[in-house]
Amino acid sequence: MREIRRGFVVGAILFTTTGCSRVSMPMLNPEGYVGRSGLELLVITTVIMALVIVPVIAGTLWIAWRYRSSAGRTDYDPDFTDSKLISGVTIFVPLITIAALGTMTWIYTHRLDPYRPLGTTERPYEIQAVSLDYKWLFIYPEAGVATINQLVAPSGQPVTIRITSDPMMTSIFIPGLINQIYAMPGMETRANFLADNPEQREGANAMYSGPGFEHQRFITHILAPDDFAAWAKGAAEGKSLEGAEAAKVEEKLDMAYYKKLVVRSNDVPITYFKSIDADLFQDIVRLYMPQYQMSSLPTGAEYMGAN
Amino acid sequence: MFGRLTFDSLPFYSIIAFGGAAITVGVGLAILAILTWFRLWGWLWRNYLTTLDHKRIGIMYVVVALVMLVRGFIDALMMRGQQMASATGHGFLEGDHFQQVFSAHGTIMIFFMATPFMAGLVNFVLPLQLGARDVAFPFLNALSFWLTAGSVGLVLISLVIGVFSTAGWVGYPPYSGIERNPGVGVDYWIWALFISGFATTMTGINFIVTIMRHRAPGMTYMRMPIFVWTVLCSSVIILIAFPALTVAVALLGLDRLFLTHFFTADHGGNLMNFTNMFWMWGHPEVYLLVLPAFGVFSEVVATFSGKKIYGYSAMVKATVLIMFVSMLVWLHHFFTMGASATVNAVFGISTMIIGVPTGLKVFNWMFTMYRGRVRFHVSMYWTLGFMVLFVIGGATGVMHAIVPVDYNTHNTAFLVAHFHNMLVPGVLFGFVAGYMYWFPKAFGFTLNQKWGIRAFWGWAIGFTLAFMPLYALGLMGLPRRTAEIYNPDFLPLLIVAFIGALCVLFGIVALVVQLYVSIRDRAQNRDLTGDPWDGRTLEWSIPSPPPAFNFARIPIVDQIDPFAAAKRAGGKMQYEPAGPVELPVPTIVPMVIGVSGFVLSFAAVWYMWWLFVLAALVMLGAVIGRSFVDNNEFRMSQREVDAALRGSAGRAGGVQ
Repeated sequence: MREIRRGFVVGAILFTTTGCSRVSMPMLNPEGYVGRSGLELLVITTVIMALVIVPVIAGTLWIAWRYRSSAGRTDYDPDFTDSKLISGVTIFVPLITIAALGTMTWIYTHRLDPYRPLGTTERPYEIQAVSLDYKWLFIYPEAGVATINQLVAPSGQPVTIRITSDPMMTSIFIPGLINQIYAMPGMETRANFLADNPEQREGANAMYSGPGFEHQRFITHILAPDDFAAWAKGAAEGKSLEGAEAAKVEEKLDMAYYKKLVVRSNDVPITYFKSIDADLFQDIVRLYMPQYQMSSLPTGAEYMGAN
Repeated sequence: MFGRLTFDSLPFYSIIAFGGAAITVGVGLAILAILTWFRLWGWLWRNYLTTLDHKRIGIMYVVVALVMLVRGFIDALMMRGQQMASATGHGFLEGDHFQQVFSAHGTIMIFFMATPFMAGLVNFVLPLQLGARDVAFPFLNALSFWLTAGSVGLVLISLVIGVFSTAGWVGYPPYSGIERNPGVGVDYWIWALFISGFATTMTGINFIVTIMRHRAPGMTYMRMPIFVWTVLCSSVIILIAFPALTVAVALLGLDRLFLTHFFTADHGGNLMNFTNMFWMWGHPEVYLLVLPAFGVFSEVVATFSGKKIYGYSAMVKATVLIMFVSMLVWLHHFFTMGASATVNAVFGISTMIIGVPTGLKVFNWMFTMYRGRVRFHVSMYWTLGFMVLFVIGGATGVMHAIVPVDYNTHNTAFLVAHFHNMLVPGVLFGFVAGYMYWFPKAFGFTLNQKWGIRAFWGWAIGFTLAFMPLYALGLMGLPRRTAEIYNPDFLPLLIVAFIGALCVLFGIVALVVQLYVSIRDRAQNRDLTGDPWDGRTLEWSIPSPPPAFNFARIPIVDQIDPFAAAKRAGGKMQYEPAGPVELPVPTIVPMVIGVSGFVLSFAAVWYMWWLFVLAALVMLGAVIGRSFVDNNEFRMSQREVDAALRGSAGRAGGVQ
């Protein structure tokens, strides 16, 4: 049964993605658990709905044509307004469809809860993201470095991104890798992912926050664990990622530098900070919400236990 | 004296903005010149500006809606053009001009096209279908119209003086806050919504009371036409949902004007509250628009199939269910705001539940045609086009309700395609079908069929070409409101979408030509019977156009579709005994209040507080003064009624 389902899903994916490159159709070429489950859901629900709407469209046109007045049919019945069989169809077809889709919604919404860390006992790798006008700041607290407009993350390991924004409300979206979620000033939202293979993927702010928001984009580099460790070490020495655009290098990212960074600007080059102020993310949220206290990240088991 | 209004507020900053202003002013001056040249001011004053007649108010609403449809469409065309042009360059809309156009398009199409179109059709049709002489509160009705017209004026003048909002039609803070957007644009948006929100709420009250109190004798709730049922449910939604919007924009206005912190990110404000309040109105809004459109389709399908609607009672229950559930789904507009999985899943499923009654309706329209005699009147084209295209939009709507799918399509062109798929084939096709269906009732001659069908094909094909590519672009990750396309790969699909917009342009031109040809040939297309489509409900039992009092004698109803039943039995309808008729006296007061509302809002936008106080005093004075007028109804004797009936038509089809 499982094989049949998998074969069916893969077949449908191949069918829909023929000719769609990863770059132009990122959602249909997912990476990792989150993106794959999203695509699986998209395909299954599309098929279920097509099973309903295609007959409805065909039936509408067919009935309208068949009973056109010029056809002169003799079964005209102006009082035909009720039939047990037809009424059963009209209620149960939508009801069963929606019941099926509703069940899937319940299951998949919990499965793809953006706050749920992937993996059970392993502590996720933490990255902090701050949406600024119009650039992305990523802080890697464990490595003690920060990057602008470039996200680097390890494969084969659960990752949690803490997200906030300053000063606009935006959204972070890496199609096919993480689900979209808002970034809001004074608040922390989260996204979790677990990539299986090294790859590159575009990410963006998908929510209007001023002219230029469409250029608030970044490249996500997923690296093999060893490569990632080497990159983190290199970044602390100001070394750019191999094979990517050379980064501008700055010394330390603290609140004083952040105040300069937060000023609205476009086309900010990829920038590396060799060291960071450890509490910077918390301090940024506290600019708006002084009582905010950053909690430690749960593992998957801890999260499921708490919820 | 002029607050923050200076010479710099005039649109000399860009050629396109100046062109838009010049067209607006030019069209306005041209209308004034035509009215003067043909000496139509007296006619206009007597028949429209001072009228309290629901039919004329309805016609004015529809005129406003059609004018704003053109304005909103020009915005759409500019956006399609800009996105296409910017795939290979920078395009022609500089700075945040694209966002002004975007915000104006959304605001206009929802508040000043769809809503007035709905209010206009309902105003015209509702009392006629109920067998009533007018709505419950004719003065309030005129007041609603003139306040709506005032806010329309506010949106139009923003093109000439100052700028419009760039915060989108949803105006989320903190972007719409005073720190990020200190200019007049957001204030124009707030005041236009605030005033028209009041107007629409009063309209809702009026319709509810009319339906509850002014039904013809014998018309129980379960004998009302489906259109009336949809209007009732839609009005209840108005009553519950609109205050949320009015309060939300008022609080946002306070944040901007008095630096309060309702929706700011800091100092204890909560920007998520605005999002919640806006969509507590915003989602029901979609249903209050689409329900009357469903009502139109029900009337059209039944009439042109020559049958009663299939499953009347199921249709009614479905409508009522949609009404209730529509108020329990608003959170699906922000699944991405980080609520818990359980909250998101509950709202996702409640959203899908609406698919059940809606699906049932689609099936019932299908089976109304089954064993009928379907005549392909132009309204039937719009209805069939709706049924085919709407189920696609319904399916993508259900996809959005599946929370993890929404995470991936939210804020993208996919979403834009989805809601246009509901609002164009759903709402607009319905209203246009209604316009072509009831036009002969309003003016006494039918609309040209050929140009109507051409308009339909322009819209149906244009819609498909314009929005199907947007579904694909959304899956490619294109965020909505993108002024500069960052990926040249999007160009081919954007070209297709632009061609679609041009087809819609043809559809709009065809609508105008249809009107022109129909008026030109009106002598050949006179509706002498009052019943050109072999109608089923009470409005077809009276002459076209109806006399001021609608029904000389009030009909008695004993079943659904009473007029069709009477015709089939070969007999006449039953009427109450004749008697004198009371009609409201025309008055200029609603217009005065509407114009004052416009002046007051304009003054507030530009911080001209002396003018604000002056306009407020005029409004207050008009309301107080009006309450001292006792003779606001006049009586027509039976003889005058008979004379008017002969004069207006003399062609009551032997039914009256």
